[in-house]
Amino acid sequence: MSQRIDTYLAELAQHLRGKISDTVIEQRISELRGHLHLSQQDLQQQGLDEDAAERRALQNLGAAKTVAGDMLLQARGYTGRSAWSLSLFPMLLVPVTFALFFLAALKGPSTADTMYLLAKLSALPVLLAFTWQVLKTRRWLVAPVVVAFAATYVITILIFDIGHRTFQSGTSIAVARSGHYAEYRDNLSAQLLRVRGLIKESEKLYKSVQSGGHTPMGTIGPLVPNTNTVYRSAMVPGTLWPASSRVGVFHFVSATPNIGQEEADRRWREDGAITLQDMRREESDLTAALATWRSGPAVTWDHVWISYGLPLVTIAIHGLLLAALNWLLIGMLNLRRRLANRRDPIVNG
Amino acid sequence: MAYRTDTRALVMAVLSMGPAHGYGISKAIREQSGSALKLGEGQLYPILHELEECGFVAAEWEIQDGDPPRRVYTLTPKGKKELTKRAAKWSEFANAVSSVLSAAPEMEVKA
Repeated sequence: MSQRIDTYLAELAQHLRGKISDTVIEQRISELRGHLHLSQQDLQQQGLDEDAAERRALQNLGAAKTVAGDMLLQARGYTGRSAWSLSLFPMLLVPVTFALFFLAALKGPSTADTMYLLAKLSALPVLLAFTWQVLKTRRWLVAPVVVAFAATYVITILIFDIGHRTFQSGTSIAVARSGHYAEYRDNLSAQLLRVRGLIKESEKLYKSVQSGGHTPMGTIGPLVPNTNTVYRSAMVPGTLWPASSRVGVFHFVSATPNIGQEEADRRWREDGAITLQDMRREESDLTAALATWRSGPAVTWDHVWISYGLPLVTIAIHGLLLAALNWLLIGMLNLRRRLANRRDPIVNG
Repeated sequence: MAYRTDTRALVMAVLSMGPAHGYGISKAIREQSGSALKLGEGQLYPILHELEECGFVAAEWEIQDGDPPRRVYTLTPKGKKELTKRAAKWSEFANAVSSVLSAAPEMEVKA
């Protein structure tokens, strides 16, 4: 055997040393020595001289580093094991991060922005574990991770649904119709109480104030933030309504500057009446929603679609992004492998 | 995608014709496919070792006079069963693709 082949096999053994047993390394090296010998003989019979045949035989086998890498993948069980068993760590991390997210959401500050950030960050450990595992195994591991996400999500929502009797609702439609947002019965009751308070106050104000207000400046005060708990009673002039615990609404009746007293009075009468009418409708919708809370159908398609269907579609879309990442990582590793084969000094020297 | 990369089935198919060493297997795949399939020689050995661990192939050292020893692989009865299973799946897949392709109008193939 030539010095080039000996150097090649010595480098290969060095890549394997300490990672698999010495006996196995010896067997692998002997096997490859036999392979190179046969390959060289064959190439010489095809007309190549001894040196060219030896170089081609090494090129056909690939750089020592990549061959050793493939052997290690096999020795560690990454080639033979199923994708499910290889994805065990990122899969287990999914329910753990879900649980941690809920704990953080319960204990930490609960502004919408913080929750959004927290929800996004909670996926990060899974993403890192997934990336690490793909780089380590060079395998397609998307399906198990996506299934873990979907299963954890469905189980979590089932626990919430059963725990909070949302299934016995039929309320989601009534709640949506009332223009309110409520996950649970307590929220709904609180909103009803608040609407009733607003109606009482607005009726009093509507009766006591006979004329509309207007200002040359037009609308004064902050614009109504778009939250799902904003009340339409914002039209009542000069009144600050505690629309929710976090949002205050402050509007003047005259949205147009200098509308004149007569127009302002007309708007006050008409808009005020409409506002009160709307609030009364809200009250009736919320009352109906509360009444049907326990007596409604067991499951509504709306609820199933919003709580399960839509999020599962979202998870599937995220799965496609994960697949793109998996494809990219494997592509990168293959490229690195090709470059290593092309640049290897022993194989190409 | 899985069908395209089922190199394990190709290796077992070659071994179903008789015992062979690694180089012989890679050469047989290349020659029998008219050079359409070229199995990376460096990638062949991890596949053979995996098949051996699964019990689908068995290996023995063959001592040569003056030449390096060769490791010769043989398909085991378990491997034969596995090969039959994989071949059936492949036929099912190939038939399905063929029936769709044959339904298409004839295409002019440019030389």
